[in-house]
Amino acid sequence: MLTKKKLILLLSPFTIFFCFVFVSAFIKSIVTSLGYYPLMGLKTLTFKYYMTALQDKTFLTTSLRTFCFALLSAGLACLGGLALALVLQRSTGPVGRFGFKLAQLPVMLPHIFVILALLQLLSQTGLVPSLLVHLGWLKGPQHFPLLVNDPLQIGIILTYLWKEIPFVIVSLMLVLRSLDRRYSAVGQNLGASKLQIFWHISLPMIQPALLNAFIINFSFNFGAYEVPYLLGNPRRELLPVYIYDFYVQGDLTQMPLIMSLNILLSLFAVLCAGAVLYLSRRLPGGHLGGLK
Amino acid sequence: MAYYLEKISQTKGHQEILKQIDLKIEENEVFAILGPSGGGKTTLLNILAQIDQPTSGRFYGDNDAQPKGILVFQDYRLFPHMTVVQNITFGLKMRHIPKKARLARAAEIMKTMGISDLAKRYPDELSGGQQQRVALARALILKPKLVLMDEPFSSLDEGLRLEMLNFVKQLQQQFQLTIIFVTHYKNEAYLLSNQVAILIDGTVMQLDEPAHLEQAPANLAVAEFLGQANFIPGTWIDKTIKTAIYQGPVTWHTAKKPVTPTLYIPFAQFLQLTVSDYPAFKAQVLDHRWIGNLERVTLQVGTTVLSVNLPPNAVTTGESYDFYFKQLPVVY
Repeated sequence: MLTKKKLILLLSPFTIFFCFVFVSAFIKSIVTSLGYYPLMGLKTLTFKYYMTALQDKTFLTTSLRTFCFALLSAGLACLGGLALALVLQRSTGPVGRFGFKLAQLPVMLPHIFVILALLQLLSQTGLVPSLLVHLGWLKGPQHFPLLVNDPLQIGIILTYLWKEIPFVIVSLMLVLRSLDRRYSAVGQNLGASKLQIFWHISLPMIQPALLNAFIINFSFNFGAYEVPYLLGNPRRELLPVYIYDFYVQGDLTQMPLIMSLNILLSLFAVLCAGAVLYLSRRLPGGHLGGLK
Repeated sequence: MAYYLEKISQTKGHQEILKQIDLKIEENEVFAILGPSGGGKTTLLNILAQIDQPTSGRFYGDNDAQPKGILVFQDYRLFPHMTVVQNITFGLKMRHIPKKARLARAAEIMKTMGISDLAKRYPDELSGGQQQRVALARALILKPKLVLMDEPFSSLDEGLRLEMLNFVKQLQQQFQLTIIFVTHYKNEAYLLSNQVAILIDGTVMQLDEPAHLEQAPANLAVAEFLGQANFIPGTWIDKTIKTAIYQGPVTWHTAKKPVTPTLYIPFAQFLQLTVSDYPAFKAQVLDHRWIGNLERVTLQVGTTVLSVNLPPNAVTTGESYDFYFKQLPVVY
């Protein structure tokens, strides 16, 4: 058992790093977003950059698009992960064990690996269209549907699903394994059907883990830059790409506005996470009281 | 309605967990299945609760081809995400009973159980005794004819155990229940039931009344499980036994004469200081300790040490006494 002193000592490197790097950067961003930027002679605190951002139609449209897209990707990942976790949990033999090991693999691989793989496979000059043309199933590669840099952002969604479905599986399997059949047996004995057991017992018990995985996936999808930059459609760019493009233009007078956009993006992600946590506590399963 | 277990066997992998179990349980009876851990007790209950299927054999009632007992689990297994009232009404909800009727029945059963004030609490906010009452209410609200209880009192402390034991007896009479319960505490079995089946290694070794179980265990496994006895190894000399403490005539309860006899001397009701027709041995008293109405006396005969229960102040430490068997001693 760790003593309090030992715990504090062990956590201190991370805490110091977090306080100095993250918190100081965060405070600097807030201060800049409020118009205090002495480098450019700006020394008056004001909300005008926030007001400008919130009146910017492009920013609002991009934010809504990013929100819908992040919600869809995270939702699909949770649904797919839940279904596969339930299948894997029922397969107790070597196939199930192999499936679970396989599911852990994509969690370990970096996004860039998947991005490059998708570009190699699914772009119109990629391996799959070439193979289909070779087999005579396509007249030419230009007839292959646009899945990368496409307006519907399918390439980005596929990349996220590749990483996030396994993440949901791993998160849920840990809970499902601890539940084993104990509570299902109670439900069965009290007369519940298999569907009722799933709906009234299993689902509420994994609900907190499922929604936690949703929050992590949603927050990542909402704020990630490299995947939408490489696989997204430039005409329908997502919020992180929009903000970063703004930032790299190098106009220092725009820095308070850029930082206000950045803070708004972070604030929105935190608010969404808070809303989902609030919802999770009020849904069946919100009170598990330390599962025994 | 009586219930019958007919040649019930259960095999998992290569392990035979239950072997040809035959039992008859009378209506409105409290029937105890007593045995050590890993003896197949829980597997048998799961079969009677239709959570598990036997490999062979069947369980049926006089008027019911497939009776299903409602099981009260050892760890209660209250759903942690549901309040007390939600736990209790779960079975009715699954049967699509309207909410108003569910709540009315829950109010009734909670009043009987003395847990009306706990309705809105969650299981982690309840004590062990309260959890057990909720688990019982969750079963009884379904008005079952057969209630199964898996080690019902093992998680409770001594005082609460006796209280719950009496409470279960009272419920059994009030609701006219047939209760089958499994335990590895013989005192629980004796206090709650007039018929006790001893289940060891998947086999019912003995079915008897508590007093007779203690006086005449069917075999060495039962005697060893019941404990509270001395087991002295011996050898046959013609028709008598020779052990380190006793040489003389003996009897046995097993079908065949044991090949390597073990003299069975229970702590209670087997040895006395009063002269009888069955002289046992002369022993020195090493120690005597108060255990309620009796004293647990430690004796030494040669190099063998054994224990017996005697009336208080019957012996003095350091003194030697002649002991007598109350009846012809038993070997296994």
